[in-house]
Amino acid sequence: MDGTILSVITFLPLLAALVVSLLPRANASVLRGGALLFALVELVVAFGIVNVDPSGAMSFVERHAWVSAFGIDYGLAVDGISMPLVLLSCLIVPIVIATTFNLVQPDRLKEYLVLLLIMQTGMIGVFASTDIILFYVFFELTLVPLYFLIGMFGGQRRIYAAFKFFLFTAAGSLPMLISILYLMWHHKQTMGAYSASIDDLRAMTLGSTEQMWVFAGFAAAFAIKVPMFPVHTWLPDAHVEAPTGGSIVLAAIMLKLGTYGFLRIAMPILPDATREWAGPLLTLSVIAVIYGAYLAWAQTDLKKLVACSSISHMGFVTIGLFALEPDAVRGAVLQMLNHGISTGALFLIVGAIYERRHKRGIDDFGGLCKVAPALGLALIITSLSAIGLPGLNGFVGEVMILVGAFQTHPWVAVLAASGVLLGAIYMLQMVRRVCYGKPNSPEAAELTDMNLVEKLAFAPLVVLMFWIGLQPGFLLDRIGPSVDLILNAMGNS
Amino acid sequence: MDQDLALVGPILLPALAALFLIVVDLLPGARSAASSFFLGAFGALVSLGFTLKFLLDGKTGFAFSGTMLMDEPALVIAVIVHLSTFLSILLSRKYLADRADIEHAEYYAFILVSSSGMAMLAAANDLINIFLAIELLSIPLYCLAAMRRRQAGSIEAGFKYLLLGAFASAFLLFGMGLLFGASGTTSMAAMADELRRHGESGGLAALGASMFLIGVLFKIAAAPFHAWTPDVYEGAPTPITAFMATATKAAAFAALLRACPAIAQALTPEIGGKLIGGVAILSMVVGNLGALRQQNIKRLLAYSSIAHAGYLLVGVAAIVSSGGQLASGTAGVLYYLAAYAAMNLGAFAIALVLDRGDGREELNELRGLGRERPMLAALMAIFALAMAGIPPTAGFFGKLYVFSAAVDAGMISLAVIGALMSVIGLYYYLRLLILMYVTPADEGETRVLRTDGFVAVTSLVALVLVLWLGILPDWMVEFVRSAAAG
Repeated sequence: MDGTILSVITFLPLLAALVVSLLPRANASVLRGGALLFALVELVVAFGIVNVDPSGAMSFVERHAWVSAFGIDYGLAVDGISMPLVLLSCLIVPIVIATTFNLVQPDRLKEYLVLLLIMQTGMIGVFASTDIILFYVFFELTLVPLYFLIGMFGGQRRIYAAFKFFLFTAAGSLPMLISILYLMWHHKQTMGAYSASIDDLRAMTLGSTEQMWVFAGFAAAFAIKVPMFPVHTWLPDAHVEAPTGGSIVLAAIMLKLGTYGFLRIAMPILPDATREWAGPLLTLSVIAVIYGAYLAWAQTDLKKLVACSSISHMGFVTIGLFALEPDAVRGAVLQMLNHGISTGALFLIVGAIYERRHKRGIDDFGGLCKVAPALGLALIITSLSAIGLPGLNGFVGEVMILVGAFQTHPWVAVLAASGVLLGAIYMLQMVRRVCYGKPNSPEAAELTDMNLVEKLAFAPLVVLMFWIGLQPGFLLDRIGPSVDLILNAMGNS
Repeated sequence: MDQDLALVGPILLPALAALFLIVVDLLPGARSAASSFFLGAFGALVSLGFTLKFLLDGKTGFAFSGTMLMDEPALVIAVIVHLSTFLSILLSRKYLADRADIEHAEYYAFILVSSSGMAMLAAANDLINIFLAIELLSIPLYCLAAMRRRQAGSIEAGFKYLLLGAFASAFLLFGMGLLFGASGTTSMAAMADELRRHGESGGLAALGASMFLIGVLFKIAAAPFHAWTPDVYEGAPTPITAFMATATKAAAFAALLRACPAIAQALTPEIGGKLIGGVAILSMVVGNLGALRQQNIKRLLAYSSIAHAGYLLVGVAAIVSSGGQLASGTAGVLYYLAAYAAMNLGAFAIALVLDRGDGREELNELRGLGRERPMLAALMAIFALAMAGIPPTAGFFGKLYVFSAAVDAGMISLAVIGALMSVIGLYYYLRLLILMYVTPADEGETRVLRTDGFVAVTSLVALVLVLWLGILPDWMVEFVRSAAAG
């Protein structure tokens, strides 16, 4: 037992949501300030978990019986994989709160903040759970707030997008529930008692046919969340209709719940099925990489472009995971963080531009670097980070994934590398059209630059892009041992 | 004999309270709306406390030569029944005060008599008593449904319920006759053994068990015996709808649980499990698809209650297919019934508050509620999410429990279908949330909330239960587990 720091980190946002919901509605700056204060305190507290066990084992373990009849525990812990993801969640939320200026419905700022904070509890809970039912509970807890964020604060087709998002993700999570029930029941059959602890479920052996089915249940939930081709169609709608903050959280953290679930639950508990399914899933991932890139290439709307590029980039992550090679899996975990940082930053910039012009077409702008130099520079750095320029964060992850994947599945790596190329094409083309040349309209020529708050909020993301790009060792030293533990356990069973 | 009387206290108390209420009503000068209400609420509360004490003390046993069995599952169900009765009565005061056409004393007396029948059904251990109990709970319900005697919809509801209910009773009685013919006993305790001893009965027992099932499935509003539900739920006074949806369902499931071993024996576990599983699937499909198109909040809740009957039947199917005894199935059904009662009573309480009194009860009345009445909307949202089975609410653990029972019995496909149907269910529960939080309210219409302290208490009790059962389910799970194993 290492105290209660993870419980504090997990539930502090929920407490914050409660406090914010009691603040007066009329005063927007008090609401925003209160929420921001909580989110910053949360960030500071979260740094307390940086020093995870260097052997890669679970640290800061908390475990209490919850529903003892079913062997369900309230169990929290983090290792080198989940720690950075928890920290990323704690970093993104204050950035979102600080940069929320122009809501569609300004008088409902309170609801917006409350939903955001509830969502934070859900996301951190998913990353920190060591019990599969607790994992499921938090997994579902993230759905409802995001559904409302899109439905209440989104664009024209927000209700359609919110419904689509919710039904897709819920349709995935219920097969997962059945898989979870089956695992728990199987534990009872073989070990004599129910258990929902992920470690216990890892320790038991399942026949390979059973594994295939149970894996299919998990894959339904996680593949939709990632999202993998062909269940990605909810993502562009959700992203385009969501308010900026919703898009940032969705891209930066929510999508990682899927890949994290594969890595934490599906792969270690069902090693045989993972190997069996790896081929098809790699194929789908390669399709996602290339198809997502083509989709992005064809977009004329900035936000849609970023959303489609997300599909492509998350394809890289799943390639890394299912290559089942240590370097590739490490790269995949790092790339989960990188994608969170880069795509989160891209949505932040697109949101900032949209708030100024209420337009998002690529051709509505031009000459951004002259008109608003800081905004232009931010867009350039972030785009370069997203396409994997050496020296920035995206490069490290992509190279590790490609090198690793090449050793086990050379063709996958070759095809995926062509996706990198496509990524460079559409991103740079977008940057050229938005940042350079002449402003396309009088309004485009009068765009205001980033204000101080936006610069301050953006700064940590840029720092992270360079830091991970130049010093990836700090994170990799922590990710590596935890990944090895999972892969070794898979090899032995 | 004294011991017998003490054991059936949970059945006698509400009946005595009803008699007392009627006598007080006859006394000159004592007759008033308030006295009827308080006597009714007090009677239900005493019954609830008494039953709860029985349950906590573990006071169980056979009564009246084994024709009644007050075991722990029966007591759990009696507690659910009396709690639902108490809360429904609390909901009634304001509702009746706003409407001049309902007689107060009769109304409360009927509720109490009906709840006495429900508690009796929970404990009935003999075909004769089961039939008596079902009639005792049904006849007051027919009257209650038609209580708003100047409203065509209410009369229609009562009449429809009466006709179809009589029809179902005929099935039930016929089935009982056949079961008696095949087994030579009316005792539920001995039924399964006797059927086994007599062996091949030429389909007599199977036919009897099927007809018995039809009679009971009608009461729990399972498809395809659900046709009455939307009309009756819509036409009956709202507190009565809440009472029917929660207490009646709990009591009828008690009868079903009691009959599981006999059904498994008469139909064979395999066929019986498939049959009930089929009804479960059909109920989930009809309930969830039917609810999608509803514009009336009570009709929506009616279809949702059909769907929930389906989820509950998943647990029953698991029991039957395991040969009539499956502790996890019984525990799952008990847990789900408690969770369902809490969230449904909460939802009906909110529907009651929003009722404009023009008899339309449209879903559109929810529009803009999130902005105008955030607390009310938040309550409704929690109840809707609970019914959708979203954690951490009671509905989630209820579903977890019955689906895990199905997995336990090897009926994985049934659990998968149940899970998929829950996704469709999400759609219409979410529609409620959309209406409250996204759609703006009509301009210029002022909302009149029909509420009083008692309605508030009801929704708070429901809220506490929904969250308590959802966040800290352990005590209840242990409780129903030991009850089911007991």
